[in-house]
Amino acid sequence: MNELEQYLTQLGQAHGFTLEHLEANRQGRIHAEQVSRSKGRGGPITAIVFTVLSAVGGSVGAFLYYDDARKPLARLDRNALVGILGATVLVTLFFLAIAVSSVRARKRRVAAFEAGRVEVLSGPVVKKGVQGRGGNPGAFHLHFGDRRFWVLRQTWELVTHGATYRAYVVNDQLLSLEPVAR
Amino acid sequence: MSEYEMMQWAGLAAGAGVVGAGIYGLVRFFRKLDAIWPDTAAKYGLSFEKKHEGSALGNSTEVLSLRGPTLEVLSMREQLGNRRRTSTVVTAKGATPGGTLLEVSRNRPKAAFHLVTTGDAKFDNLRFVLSESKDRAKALLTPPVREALLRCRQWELRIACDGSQVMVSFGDLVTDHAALSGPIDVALAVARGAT
Repeated sequence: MNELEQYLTQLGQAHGFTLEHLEANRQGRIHAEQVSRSKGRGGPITAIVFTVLSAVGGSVGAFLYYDDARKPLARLDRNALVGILGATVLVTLFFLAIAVSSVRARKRRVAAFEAGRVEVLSGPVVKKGVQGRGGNPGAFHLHFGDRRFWVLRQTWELVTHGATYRAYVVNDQLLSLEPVAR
Repeated sequence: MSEYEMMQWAGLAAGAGVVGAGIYGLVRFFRKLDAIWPDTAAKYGLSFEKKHEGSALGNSTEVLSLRGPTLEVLSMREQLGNRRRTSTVVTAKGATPGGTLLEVSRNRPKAAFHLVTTGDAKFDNLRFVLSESKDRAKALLTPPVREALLRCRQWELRIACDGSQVMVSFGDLVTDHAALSGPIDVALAVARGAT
């Protein structure tokens, strides 16, 4: 394995692509594994689970409160019930909005990956990173001109600031990248 | 005065001494910090200017600059909400090879693909230079530049040459004279070496 292949393997391990994926991207194709990975439902499922949990949790809480209260309901109990139900609706709507946007984003992503158009960006990379402090995660970005890509710290550390790279992009997602000789 | 009262006075005096020493230490520390920029300006024959915008409790920007005919240092500290950003750029004029960019770190890089080795074992073991133009980077890393880089305390430095000037930049706070004069010496060494 030559020096370049070794570097590409390192970049691939950090960013989640193989030399086979990269070769497909170079030819303007998206590898089947990259397409199947784009169909992941983790985000929408998590958001939907939180929506259901908040709706069910709030409703059950309100019902238990009502069941426990002396009938007919006193004004204080009625206000507390309205408060619980109001908070439940607000929290559920919040998670619902996240779920809807997550489902839409997935739909757009899957459509873009199935369309199979790979965008190629080439140029010097500008690395920008904010180290996380006090338990906060850091944010690491690679800039190709005015385009910015969020990457894991491992990928960020392997890229050389100012060096020329070619990036293969689908739906604003950095699929793979490689150094280019100037 | 009873023994008990004397002990109370002694305790008060000791407390005042500790508080006084703390205040004296803080004043000395801040005076030392404030003196870094004017002292460095005097050392390199530059003019010093300090600008501050914004309030102490809100968003603020502080710009410190040293200017001379062939050398300029610009340091900016920004406080935006709960984020703080610090950057310092040293610019020295000199006919440098254009389009050369070096990332110098005290940490060994995770990948050796862009790693530049100079053949100077001491330097190569202590400073790690990354650049895609390895030959131009090697040509820039003359013995005086390597020596200046070894004296630098910064964990990471970026050196960029655009043909007519060299820019050395870093993000660390300047907390002593060496932290400022180190990168200045690097910029001057690169500019001198290239001309």
